[in-house]
Amino acid sequence: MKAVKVENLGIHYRIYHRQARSLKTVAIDILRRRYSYTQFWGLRNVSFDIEKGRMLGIIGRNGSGKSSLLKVLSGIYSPDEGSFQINGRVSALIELGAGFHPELTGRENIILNGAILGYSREEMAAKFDDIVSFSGVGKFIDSPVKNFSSGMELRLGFSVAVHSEPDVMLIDEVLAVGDKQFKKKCYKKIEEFREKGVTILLISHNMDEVNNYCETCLWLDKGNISAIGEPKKVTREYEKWLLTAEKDL
Amino acid sequence: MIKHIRQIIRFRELLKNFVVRDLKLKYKNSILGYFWSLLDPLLTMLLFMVVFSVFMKINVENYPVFLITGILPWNFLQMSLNGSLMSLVQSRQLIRKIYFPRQLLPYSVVITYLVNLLLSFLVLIPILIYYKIPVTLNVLYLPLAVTLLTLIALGLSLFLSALFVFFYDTLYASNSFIRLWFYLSPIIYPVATVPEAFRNVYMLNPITPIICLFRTGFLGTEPPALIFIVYSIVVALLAFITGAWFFHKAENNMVKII
Repeated sequence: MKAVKVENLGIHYRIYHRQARSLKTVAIDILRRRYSYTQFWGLRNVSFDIEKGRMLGIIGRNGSGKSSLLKVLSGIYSPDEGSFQINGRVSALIELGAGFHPELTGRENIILNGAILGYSREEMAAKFDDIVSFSGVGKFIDSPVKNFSSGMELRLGFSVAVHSEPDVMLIDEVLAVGDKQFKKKCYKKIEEFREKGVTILLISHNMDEVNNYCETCLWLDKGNISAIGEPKKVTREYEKWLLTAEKDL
Repeated sequence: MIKHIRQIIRFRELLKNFVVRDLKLKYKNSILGYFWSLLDPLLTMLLFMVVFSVFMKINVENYPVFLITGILPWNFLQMSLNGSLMSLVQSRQLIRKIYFPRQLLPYSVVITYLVNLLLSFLVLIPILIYYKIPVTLNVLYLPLAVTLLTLIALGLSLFLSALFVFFYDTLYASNSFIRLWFYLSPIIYPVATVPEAFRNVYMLNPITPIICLFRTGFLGTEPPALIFIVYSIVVALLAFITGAWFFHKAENNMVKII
């Protein structure tokens, strides 16, 4: 069974020629018939699919469309062209603690963050202790998040996110942060997800990570697929290409 | 439109969380939070009382009660619009990073102030007793008035919050508009002071009949003519539907540029 199926996907962005956009300038521009913007495709003609339980590594330079792809799959953007299909519940580790409010305590934020991720109060209450112990913030859980260190905030965010029960998990470079010990915990958690048959899409700049964990690697450049296939082969090609691209600079 | 409502029902837990968060933040660090939120309308009432009944000697029966029954619903509308205008931009981190129905943000602002409005009605009780105003069956008009005003607040909030993402001067435009709207609504003066010749044009303001309905409910005065009530219902529904339509029309681009 296919867990994720992406067909001919395209996302476009508009670059407005005006710096500050206001009702006033728009009114003037319309009168002068100069209301204009340039449209460019952040992602185009992207098609691929993933079998259930597999892990896909996504690589590419900055601005190649990796994050746009995950944003479409998590529902943040809706496709401007083409379509995609996901079987099951999606959970995204795109930005940890994005829903945290600095004035609320860790405890209140867990409930709020869980609600943003689509969990009911009961579901969150059942997981609450696990979330707190995994994050390791300990007794700080009842102080406002604004008093947390950035590491603590991150760990709490990650902890909330991984205690969801997704069928498909989207991970955007979040593993690059956090200390060694916490990273180890994260990899262990990912292993656990894989054993449960969760499909994972992972953006990474770490080729070893991709080679070790993924069955397939997708290389994006300028919004198009450059290559897709066996990780070792694709990452080698990508690194070779990066070297030549560097020379061009 | 059906999707708009269905998303809200599906994410009602989150909406509740947002409202609870807003109420908590509003009243946090002050046990007197609720009383602070009452102080402002009471001060406004006092101010207008002095200006209009002492200085200008306006002749309205029970003028203080008349004032407060107009100021409370007006404050709800005004604060809802001001609050929700920024609601999307203030949560841009969230919108960029996680999917959830974005209309929940302006909704939560309006609902927070709606709770505030209903709580502030409690302060009316001692005032009504003091002025010996009897409770009549007209109280039954109140739920209608609250519903219509909420629909208008929601429609405009959806519209303004989305527009503000695109154009920063929406803020100035809406501030001027709200100020004009205040003086064109029967908050500090009764409809009867408007000259007959302009009366029909004046009643085109959809919140005029609604404010009158609030007074009918609390003061037991005559309700506005049925035709005006029907007109308000139609406009309130239209405002809500148009606001939601605009919001979703703009949503895809909004998320990219926010």
